[in-house]
Amino acid sequence: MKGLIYKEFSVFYKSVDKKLLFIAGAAIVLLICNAGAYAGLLASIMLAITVGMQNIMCFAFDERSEWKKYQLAIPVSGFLAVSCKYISVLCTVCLSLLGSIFLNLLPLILFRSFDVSIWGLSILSAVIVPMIWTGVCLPITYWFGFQSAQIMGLFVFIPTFFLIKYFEDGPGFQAMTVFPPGCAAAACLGVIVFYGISLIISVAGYERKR
Amino acid sequence: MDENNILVQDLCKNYDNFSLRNVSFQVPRGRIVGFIGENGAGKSTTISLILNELKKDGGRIQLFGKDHTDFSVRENIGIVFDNCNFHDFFTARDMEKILSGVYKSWDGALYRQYLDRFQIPFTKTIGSFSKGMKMKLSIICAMAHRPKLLILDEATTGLDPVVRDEILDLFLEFIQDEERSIFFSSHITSDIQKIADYVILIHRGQIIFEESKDELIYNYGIIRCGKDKFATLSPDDYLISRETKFSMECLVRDRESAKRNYKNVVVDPASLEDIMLFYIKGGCL
Repeated sequence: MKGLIYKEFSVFYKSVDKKLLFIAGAAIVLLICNAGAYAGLLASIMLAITVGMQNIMCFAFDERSEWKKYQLAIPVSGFLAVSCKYISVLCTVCLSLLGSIFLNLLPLILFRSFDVSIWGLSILSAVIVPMIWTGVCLPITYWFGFQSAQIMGLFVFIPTFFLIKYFEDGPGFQAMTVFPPGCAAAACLGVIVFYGISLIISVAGYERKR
Repeated sequence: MDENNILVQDLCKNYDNFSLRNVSFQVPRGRIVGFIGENGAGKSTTISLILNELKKDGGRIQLFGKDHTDFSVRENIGIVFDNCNFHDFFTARDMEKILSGVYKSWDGALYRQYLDRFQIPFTKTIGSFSKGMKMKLSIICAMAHRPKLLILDEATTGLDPVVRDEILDLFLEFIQDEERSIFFSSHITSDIQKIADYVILIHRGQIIFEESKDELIYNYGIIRCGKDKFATLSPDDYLISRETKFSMECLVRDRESAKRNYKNVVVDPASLEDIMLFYIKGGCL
């Protein structure tokens, strides 16, 4: 199992698309310049989306080398093979989390602002956004192929973009950080359940035989 | 212990435009079995069914005496497909880290020994390798966990003769302990002729024959004669005939017997390729 986790994680960081990095980097710089105290939060969301997207992009490389054909012949069950992918996504969530902490330190230094609720929401986003993204896209990939997941990824990205736009134009970013107590815990629990269900659907898709 | 590493009985698989029909054969321990046939004959489909990558519509497949769906059997199988299935940005070192975490019996020392022997760089990316180096790495990875059965699906296709020769020698070493076997699919009959003990010919989803290679090479022959002499041949004495521009050719199972029976015709030895072409092309040339 550890071999496949190593493989998934290696594909993640060795296949990073320079264009994707450039676009994400440019967007993060713009956000830091324009969003003031909320720069860390918005940049964290951007980074979390990038991490989620890169997890799906890895499938393009698996398809190119017909890795699945090989993987089906080695002594790894379908459940283990798919679980390794999900575990490697959780490893990349650590990157998102570390990135979020770093990106929140920048406004702290630049604007000398520290808001616990912004930090909390940033960290929450860094964890749940990649999990939701991959939780939606991985079952689609295992059932319908990588290109379907790419299209679906856009459908996840668009509401995220409009949600941020809504807060920017409407009640302001301050409203984003106001949520009832226990809401964060409920969101985490919901994402964990969703992630588990996503894993089961993915395993069924992976083990489907022609 | 079962005497066959692979046993296939009445295997069926149906697609809209292609069917495998009652495919039966065996791969005994300590033997190399060549699986030949033209492109699209059903070789890769049969291998995918053996590996449980496709769902069979009928029949039985056993590996080491167990049903092929039994997960434990995969630990004892090494597989090489026609293309290298490793990502271009991986190195031989990455592959060791991946596969040593997959196979319980992975032998790192053996892996490095093979890499040295075939001069495969340990830290260079696979994308920078030639086709021959990629295939050598695939084969090394398939052999480094000391499997009992090696399944090769067109693994030597597209390689130059020097690389093919090195790889074939490695296969011959692999089966020396009489416990291991190789199931080797290819349409390059010269490779099969060089190393196989048994040969199976598949054509349009059906097994045409399953015979010892020596039986094929030393006994089969081709009668070459004019059309007038062909009329004197008994149809029971040859398997298939075909008409060329100026003469007739007949495939015979026993060339010595043919020489004895027909003194005035030429009886040449038949290569594996000749036999395959006779069966596949039949009467038309």
